[in-house]
Amino acid sequence: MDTLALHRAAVQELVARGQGERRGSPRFLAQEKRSILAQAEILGLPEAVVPPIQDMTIGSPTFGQFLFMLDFDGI
Amino acid sequence: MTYETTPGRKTHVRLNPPDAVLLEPIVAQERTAFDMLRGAGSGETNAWLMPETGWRLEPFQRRASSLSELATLSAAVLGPADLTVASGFVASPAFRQETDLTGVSYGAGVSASGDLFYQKQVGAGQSWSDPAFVLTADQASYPSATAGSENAPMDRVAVGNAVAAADGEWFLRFTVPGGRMQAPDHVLTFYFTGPAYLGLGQWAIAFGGDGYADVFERDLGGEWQTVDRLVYCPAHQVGRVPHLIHIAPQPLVNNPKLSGIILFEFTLAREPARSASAPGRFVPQAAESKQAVISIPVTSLSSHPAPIRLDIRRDIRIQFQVSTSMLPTSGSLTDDTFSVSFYPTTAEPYILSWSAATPAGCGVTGHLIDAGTGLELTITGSLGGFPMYAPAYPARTYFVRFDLTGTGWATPTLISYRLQRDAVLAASRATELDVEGGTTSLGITGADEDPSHESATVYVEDRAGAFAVLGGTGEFTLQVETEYDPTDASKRAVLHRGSVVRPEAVYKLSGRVSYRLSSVGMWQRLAEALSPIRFNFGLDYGATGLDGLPLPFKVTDALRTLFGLAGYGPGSLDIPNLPIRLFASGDADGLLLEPQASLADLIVRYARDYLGYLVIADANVGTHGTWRVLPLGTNANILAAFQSAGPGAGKLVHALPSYPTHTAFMRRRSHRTWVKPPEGNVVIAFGAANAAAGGGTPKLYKQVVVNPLSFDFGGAETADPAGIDYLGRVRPIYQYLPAQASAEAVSWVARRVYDLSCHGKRLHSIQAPLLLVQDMDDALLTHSRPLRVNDCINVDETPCRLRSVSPSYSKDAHQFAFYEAEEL
Repeated sequence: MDTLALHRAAVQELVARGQGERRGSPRFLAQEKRSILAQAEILGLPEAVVPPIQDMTIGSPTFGQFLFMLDFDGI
Repeated sequence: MTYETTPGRKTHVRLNPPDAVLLEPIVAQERTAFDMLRGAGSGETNAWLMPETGWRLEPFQRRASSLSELATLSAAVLGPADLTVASGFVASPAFRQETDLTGVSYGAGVSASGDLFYQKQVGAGQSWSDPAFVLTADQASYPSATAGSENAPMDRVAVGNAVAAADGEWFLRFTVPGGRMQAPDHVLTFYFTGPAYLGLGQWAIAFGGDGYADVFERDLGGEWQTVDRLVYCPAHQVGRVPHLIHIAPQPLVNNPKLSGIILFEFTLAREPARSASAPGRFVPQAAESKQAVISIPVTSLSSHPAPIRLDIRRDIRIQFQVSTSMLPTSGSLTDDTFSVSFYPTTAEPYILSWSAATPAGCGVTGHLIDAGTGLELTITGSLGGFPMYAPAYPARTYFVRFDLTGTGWATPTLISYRLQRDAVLAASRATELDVEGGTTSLGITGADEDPSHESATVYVEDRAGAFAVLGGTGEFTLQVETEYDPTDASKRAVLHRGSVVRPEAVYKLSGRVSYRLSSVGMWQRLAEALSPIRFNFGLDYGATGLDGLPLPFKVTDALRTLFGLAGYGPGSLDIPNLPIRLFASGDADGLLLEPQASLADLIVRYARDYLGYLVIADANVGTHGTWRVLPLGTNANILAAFQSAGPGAGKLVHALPSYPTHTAFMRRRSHRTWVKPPEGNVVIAFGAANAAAGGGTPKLYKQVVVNPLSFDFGGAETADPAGIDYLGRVRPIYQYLPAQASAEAVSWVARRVYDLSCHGKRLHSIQAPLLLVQDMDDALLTHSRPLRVNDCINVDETPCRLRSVSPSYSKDAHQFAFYEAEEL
C-alpha cells in the first residue's frame, strides 16, 4: 500500500473512531444496532442532567482533572 | 568464545501439533416470555401473559361470569370480614339460580346465590350526607385523592380491615346509575398499594363520569400527586354499564422490564351495533377489554402498604364489589417448536434453565420435549436446580413445556428460559508433520493490542520431496518453537501458534519445490466464530441485586460465555473473576447478542471498554495455547531491558550472553522514536434510556470530557503547543452506548474512552535479539517465552510497554526481532 493509500485508510479509521463505530463487524447487540439506527431520534429525546466528572473551571488549580468516581477510581 | 548472538537456540517448525478442534458448536436458545407461545402449535392452560411481566396463572375473575356465578369465587369477594363498609350501604347478591324456572338446571360449581354488591340505601327524608354513608374518621386521617377538585363531595365508604400487600391484585366491579348523556366528575376512587414511584407506593385511581381515570400516588409528605390519566371507557358508556377493572401492581420483581408496573384492565360491554341484515335492530357485541400500564423505574423508595379504600360520589348510588385475585393452582405452557442449528450428540448435555419469580408455595418446572416423539428427553442430572438432558442424535427439534404451580392466591411468573449446551471439542486427528529440516527462514508479525494482527510466514525448501503433503491440504495448524537450553531439548519457547491458510508451492528445476507457508495467529479460530444464537447478557439467572432484580452478567462471565460460544472451554481460558457488570437496565431485550455477531470483536471490546484489559493469545500457556484477558502492564513488572550501550570491556558486543539476564543490546541505528498524536481530544458519550430506565420518560444521557492541553478550550489558552497531547484543533470522538443509558454509564464510558484515546504517545521501535524471559508474576507460565505485547521493558532508562514483538530471522545463531513500544 502506498503512502497516500495508507494515509487515506488512516483518515477513514479516524472518522470511524470519531463516529463511535468499529472497524470490524457492526453486528454486536440487537439493542446497540437499534440505537445506531435511531441516533437522530435519540438526540431528540429530553435530556437528563448528568453531573460533570471533570473540573471545567478555567483558573482552578485542578482545572481539567477528573473528579473522583467511586466505581472507576476505586478506594 | 562464541560468535553467535543467540547461542543454544534451535527453531522447530511443527505442522499439525496436538490440537483441540471444535466438532459441535454451542447451543443456546433464549426466549423471553414475550417470544413464547406465538405459533399455532403452542398452547396454554390456565395461564396468561401479563403485559410487561411474564407468564402467570390466570385469575378466574378475568372472566366476569366466573365471578358472578361460581361458588368458589365467593371466597375471593371481599365481605364484612375483609372490608368495613359504611353502615348505610346494603349488601345484596346479584345472582341466584333461577330454580323457579322449569327445565333449567345449573352446573355443580354454580352457587345458589351470591355475587355480593354494596349500594347506598337512602331512606325517605334521610340526608345524603348522613354519617351512616361516610367513614368520616378514616377520611379525615387518610384524605381523598380528589379532595379540592370535586364537583360534588366524594365520601369514604369502605376501608380494608388489614394492610394490603404491595403486589395485591384486585378486581373492582361497579355500575354507575344514570343516563348515557350524563358525564359527572369523579364518581369512584379506589385506593391500593403498589410499587413506590414518587413516594409511599400508595396509589389511587379515580374514575370519572367522562370515561377518564386519574391515577395518583401519595408522596412522602402525604400529599396526592397526579401520575397519569387513562381512558377506561368511552364517555357515553360510563352510565348503566357494568365495569370490571383488574388492578395488578407488580413491585420491582425480576420482570423482563426490570421495573415495577401497574397494570389496569378495563372490561366493559361494547355498544350494540346496528344490524346490517335487519335495519332498525341492534345486535350485542362481545365485551371489550382495554389495558393500560404504568411503568415504574427502579427507585430507592420502598412501598408503605396501606389498606384498600373506596370513595364514592355522594349523589350517585354506585353498586360496587371488590374481590382479590383468585387463581387456579396449576397451569401449563407449551412453547413453539424450534430446532437447534446443528446435530447434537450425547457428548455434552443440554441444560434447561429459566428465570421466574416464585412466591412462597409457588413453583415453575420446565421440561424439554422431543418434538418428534412427544417425550421428554432423558434427564441426566441437574445443575443449580435446573434439569440436564441427554441429546439423542440425530434428533434436533424440540419444544419446552412449563408447569406452573400456585397456591390459589399467589402465582409464579415465568420471565424467560434458555436452553444451553457447551461446545464439543476433540483432539485433532491430523498427523503431525515436522518440516524444520527444510525451513530456511521465518518472519513473524506479533500480536499488538489488536490480536488479529498476528501472522507468520515460513519458507520451507523441499529438496528430497519429503513434504508433498503440504500440497494436499489447504490448512494446517502451525507452531513455531525455539529451543533455548542446549542441555534440554524439551525446553522450548513458542514463538507463534496459528493456522497456515495458504501453503504456496513454487516449483523449481530438478523437481525441487519450495513452500511459502502463510499463517494467521490463534485469532483466526476466534474470528471465524459467529454467534449462532440469541443470548441475553442483561439477565444473569444466578445473581440478583439487593432489590431482588436480576443483575446483568459480570463482564468476565460474559467474556467466558463468548469464548465458550466460539468453542473455547475453561481449559483454554485465563480470565479473572472481576465484579464489574455490564451496563443493562430497563428493557426486555437487555443485552441481547445479535445472531451472527462477531464474537472476537465483541470480546476485545468488552475487555477494553469495561475493564481496560487486553485479550492475548498466549501460545506458551496450556497444551494448545490459552486465551488470556490481562490488565495493562505497568512499570511495577519490568521484564527486560534494551540498551544502546555495550556490555563492557572484554565482552562481545553482539553476543546475548555478554549481557545480564533479560537484557539485550539494540541493533545499531535501529532505535527510532516518534509521537503518535491523540485520536481525539473530546469524548462525547451518549445513549438513550427508555421510559422504565429513564424515570418515567425516555431520556437522553450525555457526558462530555475534554483534554484542554490538546486545544484551547473555553476561550482561554489552555493548550500546551509543545506538549505530547497537542493537536491545536478540536477533534471529538462520539461514543454511543449499546445498552440502556444512565448518568453512571455515560460517565464511565466517556472516562474510559478518554483514557484510551485522548493522549498522545511517544513510541519506540528497535531491532534487538529475540529475548526469552521468565515472568515470575505469571503463575501459569512454566518456561521461558518471548516478549510480547503488554510486557513492560526499559529502552535504555525509559520504561515502556510493548505494543508488538515480531521475530524475524534466517539463522538460529542470530535470532532477532523487531520491537515496538510506547512510553509509560
